[in-house]
Amino acid sequence: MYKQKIKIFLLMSIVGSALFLLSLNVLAIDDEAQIYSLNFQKILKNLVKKIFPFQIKDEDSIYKEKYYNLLQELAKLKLSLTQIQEEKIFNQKEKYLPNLISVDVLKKDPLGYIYTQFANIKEGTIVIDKNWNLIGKVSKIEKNFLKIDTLNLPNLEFNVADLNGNLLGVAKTISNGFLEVNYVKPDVNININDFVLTYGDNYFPSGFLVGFVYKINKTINGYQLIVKLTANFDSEKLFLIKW
Amino acid sequence: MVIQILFLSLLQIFFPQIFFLSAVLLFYYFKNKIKELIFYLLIFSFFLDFLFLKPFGFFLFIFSLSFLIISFLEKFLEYNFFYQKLIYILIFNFIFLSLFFYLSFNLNKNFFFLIFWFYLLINVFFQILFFFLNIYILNTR
Repeated sequence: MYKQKIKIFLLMSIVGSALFLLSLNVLAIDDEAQIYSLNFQKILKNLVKKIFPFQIKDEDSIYKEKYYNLLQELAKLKLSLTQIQEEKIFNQKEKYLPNLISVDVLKKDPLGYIYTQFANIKEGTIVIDKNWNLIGKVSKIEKNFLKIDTLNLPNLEFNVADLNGNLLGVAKTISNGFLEVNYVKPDVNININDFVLTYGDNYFPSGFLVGFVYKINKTINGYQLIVKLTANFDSEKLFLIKW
Repeated sequence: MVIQILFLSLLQIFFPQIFFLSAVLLFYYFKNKIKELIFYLLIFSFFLDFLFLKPFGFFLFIFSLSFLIISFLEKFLEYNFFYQKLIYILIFNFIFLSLFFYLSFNLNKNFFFLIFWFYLLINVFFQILFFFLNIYILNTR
């Protein structure tokens, strides 16, 4: 019996690989089926959300605990949360506000990709949520939709800094809503709940809010930081920064 | 069985982490029903390509390659008992998910991230549940 199975699956895998390679190289331009799929999935999910409204998450509740802890820390420093946002993030808002484009999310892939509706932008455009937290960047522009590499995608590497703009190190995404920053120098002054921003490299420009320090591990080489991402990946609307 | 597969296809949209159809295909594989296996493999691999926005033939290729590798295992190991099926399920899922992740991320280096083990765990768990239901409750050994 197993010989028959081997023959059949060998044939099927040859057919499959031939189709796969053909569609990669020849049929790659046509993405009509993919946009139908995205719209179909969105309609079905919206339908289920209407039938079971308890599935809709309260976006603000995600931030409640974080804000509470932050306010406690900030009270010691005689600063308020609004001041920090105004001082550090207001400049970014002013700089990019005229270039913002809002797009609707079509699908959230569990692997870490987000598919949105089409917008006339370039590849590599930065994507943020409504609270100006960094979501990721546009990796592929198709005829009818955009594919975004989010910070939930594993193994992305980019530089991160603290609120004062001091380089912390290279952050690496680990696919579960957290980042790892290995080899942070021991003389760097960083505490739990401190904000972490992008430092600027060829992957992300500087000054975008990534998350806050969740845990600090002491290692032989200094510190290892675990950073919790603050972006709301469940948001239905995202913003693109057109250069 | 058709209603069951339609139901699983609908579930696939809402739970993309679990490959419901691989459980159905394994079910036919263990029952040695090759015609049904090929029929569902062809139909639903293209359905999964459509759903996961993959190039045409992606799932056909990785499903048939995974089945090809476990077919070689039949020379050494039977699958009459549940624990033997479990070995097949584990090997199949490991090969299938490795191919899926490797080709999805286009990475040359390590792709066994936390998310890979999460996928493996929930897929194996679902398939064990599926076979338990089929063999011991519906008695379709």
